[in-house]
Amino acid sequence: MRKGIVFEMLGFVILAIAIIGVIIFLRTYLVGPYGRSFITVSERHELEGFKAGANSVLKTTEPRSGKTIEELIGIAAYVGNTTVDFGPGVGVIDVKKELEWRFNALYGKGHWYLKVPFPEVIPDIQVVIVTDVSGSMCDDILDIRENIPKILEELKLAGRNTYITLYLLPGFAYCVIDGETTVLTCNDFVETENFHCRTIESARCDLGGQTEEDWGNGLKCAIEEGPVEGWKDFSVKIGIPSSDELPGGSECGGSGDCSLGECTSQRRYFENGLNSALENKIKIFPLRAYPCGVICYPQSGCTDLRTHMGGLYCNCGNGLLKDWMEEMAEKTGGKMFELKEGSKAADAIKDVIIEQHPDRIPNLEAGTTIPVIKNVRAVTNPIPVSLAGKYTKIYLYQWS
Amino acid sequence: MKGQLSYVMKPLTLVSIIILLVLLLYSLNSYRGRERMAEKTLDLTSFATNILLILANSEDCLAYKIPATQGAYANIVDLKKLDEFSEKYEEIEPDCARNYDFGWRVTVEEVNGESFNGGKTWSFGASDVSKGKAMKNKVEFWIPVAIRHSVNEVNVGRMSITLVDGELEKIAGFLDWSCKMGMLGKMSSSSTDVQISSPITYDRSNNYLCSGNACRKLLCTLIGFEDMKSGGTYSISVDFRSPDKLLVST
Repeated sequence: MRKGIVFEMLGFVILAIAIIGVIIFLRTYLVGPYGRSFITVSERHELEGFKAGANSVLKTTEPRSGKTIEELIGIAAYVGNTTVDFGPGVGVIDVKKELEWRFNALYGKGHWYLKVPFPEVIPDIQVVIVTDVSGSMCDDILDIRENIPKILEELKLAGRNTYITLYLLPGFAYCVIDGETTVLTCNDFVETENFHCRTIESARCDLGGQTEEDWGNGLKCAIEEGPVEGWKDFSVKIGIPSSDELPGGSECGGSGDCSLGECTSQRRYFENGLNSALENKIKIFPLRAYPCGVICYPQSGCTDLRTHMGGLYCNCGNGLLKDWMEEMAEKTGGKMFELKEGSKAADAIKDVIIEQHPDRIPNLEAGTTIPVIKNVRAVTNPIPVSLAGKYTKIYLYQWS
Repeated sequence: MKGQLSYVMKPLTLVSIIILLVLLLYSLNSYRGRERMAEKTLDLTSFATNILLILANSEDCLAYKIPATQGAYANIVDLKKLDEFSEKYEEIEPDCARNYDFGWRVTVEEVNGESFNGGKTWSFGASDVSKGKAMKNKVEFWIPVAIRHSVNEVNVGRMSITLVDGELEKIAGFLDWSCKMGMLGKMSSSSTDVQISSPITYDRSNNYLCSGNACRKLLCTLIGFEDMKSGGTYSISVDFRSPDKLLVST
C-alpha cells in the first residue's frame, strides 16, 4: 500500500517535471529564436542609421576652409598628416579634431573608433631655382642645363613628380661653349614638361633681381611668381638660390673682410628673400657655388678669384655668403650645399629632391579602442585622394 | 489509514496537474502576446527607419537637390526645406513620408559649437499623439544628417523621430487616407472598423480629432461625425465631398 503511494507521488513528480520541461522548451525554442531575430532586425536598422550617419558626417564642411570632411581626409591622406596647412589665409586645420568633435557630439565619447590608412603617396615637388648669371657661375648654369632634364625624367620614372623652373637673374651669362664666348639665355635651354627656364624680368613682381647676383630679391620675386605651372596645393615647395656672391654682389666687402657692416644693402636683399620664403612656407636649399675658381675667356684670358681684388670674392664667398646661406637654410627648414665645382650643381639639386621625404604617418586614427564584448556596428566608406588620383577608405566602428 | 492517505493524494495530484496545465496555457498565451508585441515594435522600428531615410534621402522631402545633376545627396538636408517643413507641417505629417497607420513627429537638431546643446531645431509632423491606454506602442529612433546652408557650410545634425501606434492615429489615419484618395479621384467612399478604449471627439472649429486631451489635425473637414463617447468597436463609413470634406457615419 505504501509502495502505491510512493509510485503515485513519483508519477506526479514526473508529470510536473514534464510540464515544466515543456514550458522551458517553448520558451527556449519557440520564443527564443523570435526574440533573437527581433534583435537582429533591430540591429540592422541601427546599422542602416549608422551608415547613413557616417555618410552625412563626411559631407559636412569645416567652416574656415569650406571643404567637406571627406575632402579634408583626402588631403590629409595626400600630405600624410592629421593636420593640413592651408596657408596664411585659412591656417592649419586639424582633421583629426574635426572628426573627433563631430562623432563625439553624435555618438558620445568612448562609443566610436575610426581609421583611415594613408596610401603610399609622394606629393609633387616644385622647385624654383634663382641663379646668379655672372661669369663665374657659367659652369654651374651649364651643368643645370645639361643634366636637370635628364634627372627629372629619372625621378619621374621613380614616381617622384618634380617640376623645376629656373629663373635667370638680370644680366648676361657669358659662357664659353665649344671654345666661343656666348651669352647664355633661356632660348639655349631645352624645356620639357617638367623643366622651364625664365628670366626674372619676365616675372610679375615689383622688385626683381637688382643685379646679376641679386639672388635675395630674385628669390622673393620667384616665390611670388611661382613656377611656370603655378604653386600647386599641398605640393612640396622648394627654393634654390645659386650664387658665389652676396645678393647684389660681394663688392661691398671692399676692404677684403666682407663684413655685415659694409654690406647692409646686400643684407636687405637677402632678408627680402628670406622673409618671402618664411611667409610662403618655402624650404630653401641654397647652393653656394665655388667662389675661389678661375674664370677663363678666350679673348680676355683667365681671372683667378683667389687673388683677384685681394681675394675679395673668395673670402666673401667662404665667409659672409656661406653664413647667410646657412642662416636662410636653417630658418626655412632647408639645407645649404657648399659646392666645390660647377659640375656639381645638378647633382646637388638632385640630392635636394631625393632628400624630400615628408614625415608621413601611416594612418589617421581617432576614437576609442573597439571593445571586445560589445556589439559593434561597422561601416566602410571610400575616400577619394583626389590630388593623387587614388582612393583610400575610412573604417568606422560604433557601439552603444 | 494508508487507504485514507491515498484518497487525499489523488485529488491533490489532480489539482496540482490542473494548476500546472493552467500555468502551461498561461505561458503559451503570454509568449504569444510578447511575440505579437515584439512584432509590432519591429514593424514600428522598420517604419521609423524608413521614414527617416525617406525624409533625408528623397528630394520630395528634405534632401538637398543638386541643381546641376537634378539628383539628391544622400542624408544632406536642405536648410530651406527644413524651414518650409517646420512651418507648413507644424501639425501634420508631410505627404512625402506619410504613414496612415501610425503617427509621427520629427525633430531636427543642428550642432551648436561642438555639441547639440542650444543648437537650432526644427520640428514637424503630428502635433500630438495618443496617450494612456489609447497608445498601443511607441518607438524613438534617430539618424545623423548633414544640414546644408550653402556650398561651403554644411553642418552636423541629428534627425529624431517619435513614432506612435495608437487609437487616435488609426482613426485619423483612416480619415486622412480616405480624404487623400478622394482628392486624387481614386476612391470616393470607404469604411473600416475601429476598436477604441478612450472616447474620440471631433473639434469642428479647429478641424481636430481628439482622444482625451491629445488632438491632431485632419486633412479634410468632417461632416456628420458623431463623437465616440465610450470604449468599444465602431464602424466608420466615409464619403468624400469635393474639394476637402468627408461625410462620416459611425
